[in-house]
Amino acid sequence: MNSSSTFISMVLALVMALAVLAMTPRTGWAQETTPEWQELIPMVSVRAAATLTRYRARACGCFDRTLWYTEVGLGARWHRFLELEGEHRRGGINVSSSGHVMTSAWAVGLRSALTPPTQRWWGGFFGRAGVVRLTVPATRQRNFMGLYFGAGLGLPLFGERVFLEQEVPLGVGFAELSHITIGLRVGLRVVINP
Amino acid sequence: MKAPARRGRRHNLVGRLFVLLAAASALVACENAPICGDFPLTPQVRACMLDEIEERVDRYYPFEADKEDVDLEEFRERLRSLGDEESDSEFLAGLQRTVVTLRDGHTRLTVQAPLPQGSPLVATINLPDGIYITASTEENVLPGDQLIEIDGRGVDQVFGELLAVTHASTMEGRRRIAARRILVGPRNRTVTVIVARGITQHRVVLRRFSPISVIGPPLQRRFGDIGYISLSTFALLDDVETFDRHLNELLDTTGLILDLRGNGGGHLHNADLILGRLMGIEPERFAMLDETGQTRFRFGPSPRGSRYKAPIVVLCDHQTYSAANYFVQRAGLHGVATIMGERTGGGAAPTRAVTLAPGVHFNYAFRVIVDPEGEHTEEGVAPDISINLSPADLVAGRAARRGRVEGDEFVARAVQFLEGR
Repeated sequence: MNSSSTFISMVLALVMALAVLAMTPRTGWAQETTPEWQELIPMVSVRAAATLTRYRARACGCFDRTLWYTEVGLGARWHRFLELEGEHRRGGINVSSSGHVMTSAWAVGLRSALTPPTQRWWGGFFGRAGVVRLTVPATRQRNFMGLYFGAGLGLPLFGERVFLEQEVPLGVGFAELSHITIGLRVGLRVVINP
Repeated sequence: MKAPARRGRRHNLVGRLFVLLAAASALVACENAPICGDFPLTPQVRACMLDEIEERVDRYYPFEADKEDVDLEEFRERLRSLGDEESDSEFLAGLQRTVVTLRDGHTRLTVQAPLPQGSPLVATINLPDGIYITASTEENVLPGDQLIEIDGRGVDQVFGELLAVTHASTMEGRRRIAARRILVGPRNRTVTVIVARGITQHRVVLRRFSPISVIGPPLQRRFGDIGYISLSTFALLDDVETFDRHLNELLDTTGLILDLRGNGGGHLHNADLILGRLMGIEPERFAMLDETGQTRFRFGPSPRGSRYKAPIVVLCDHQTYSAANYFVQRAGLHGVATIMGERTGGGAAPTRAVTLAPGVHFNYAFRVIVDPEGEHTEEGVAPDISINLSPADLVAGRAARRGRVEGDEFVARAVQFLEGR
């Protein structure tokens, strides 16, 4: 089994374990008032997602490849409009029928809700932006910096704990592997401490 | 009452995640570990290495029926005769000489040299009557000089020993690679050569201080209205971006030279991406056959970006190999370019690698690329227009400045051809 399929298996196992965890009823915990210092603790979430994008190389000016990846990430939210997140991605660049190159990446960024608090369905709209470092082994430069952006909708599956996220991600890469990607991202986000 | 169960559950999850990550890391590390053992090579380790090689060749070697000079039964007998050599270096040299008999550059045993290797700033080539200097920055060695002796030993003897451990898919490819490496040795050490110039001979001491493996990114030049791009490898994806940028700047030229001499190949997808800039329609796909003859997948270039429409010449030589050989085959087959130079080095089989011992790697061909007619080009692609250098050409400096019209006979002929069109 290669390391990428191992990573994908880990992602799926983590998602299933967290979903089971999130669905466990919170019985037996006494209600109490929250001390002030605990309000500084962010709301922590973990997530797993899969993304599929079309890749437009800048030098060619053409969509000639597909970039895909699975990710696991962590988020820390202090406010509805301020959440810090980080993620690790594993995937590849596919060149139609001719072959593929495996990739990995680390990303750090910010997330924000796009609407005021509401119980209506549109309360789940969110936006993300951040910096990504893409590693492509079969290149001279090997590591390439870039930016990511995304707008999506998170739908609650189980109360305030588990959300299904769908997002349109946009990626921008620089330097010798200069490119733009656009596609679709689908994932699960589990709030550890709602 | 606080919620220790909730905190404990969070810690439990983190611990399990850590264990999963540690297990995944161990799995990855094991895939790259030597499979037979370490140095010194005990009889058990040697037996393991011989078994691993024989098993892979038996299962995967694709050219037994095609290469008349290759006898797998003889190969197995030679393999079984190995193992009792006194030193590990003798055993490994014997193993290399045995694998070379398969005459496949993608099936090879590489042994990492104990010291970093280097070369004098002198380029060499084999011609029918000897080994010659093509280019030199050394004062006392000139293009056209013929090598007579290396460190007190006749050049034929040195060449023969090097040829016996040089892997390539064609005999000319083996000779060319061996000739180009004939002065390679431990870096920063000297090598004493005797060269002949006309009727005189003289002794020269050269220092090997240049690293031998420098594969640069695509290079672009213009010769009037003729564009030139050299592609030294297809191994690196960002080289495709560099090629695209170079080609964008040359779209207004009336002809293009793509120099694939010395390109040892790399990834088929990089070759297809570059071909995609030269082709207007998607050609018929080639097939990748496995060891049972079944088609694993079909592949080929797709048109992409702004197509280069003016006439193209592809330059190739005996070291144009593997994915570069595939590129030349496609370019000639679909009428994309005129092929000029020498017959390519072949290499129609993708390769896998296994590490037998630290620094000892066995690569083996495990599939075969065939065209829509079911034919492969393991023995290379013949050029449309042959270019062969003579000693007089070398003396006249026609191979002294690669990639220049003055100093590179191949480029000069390509420019002449394109200007004539």
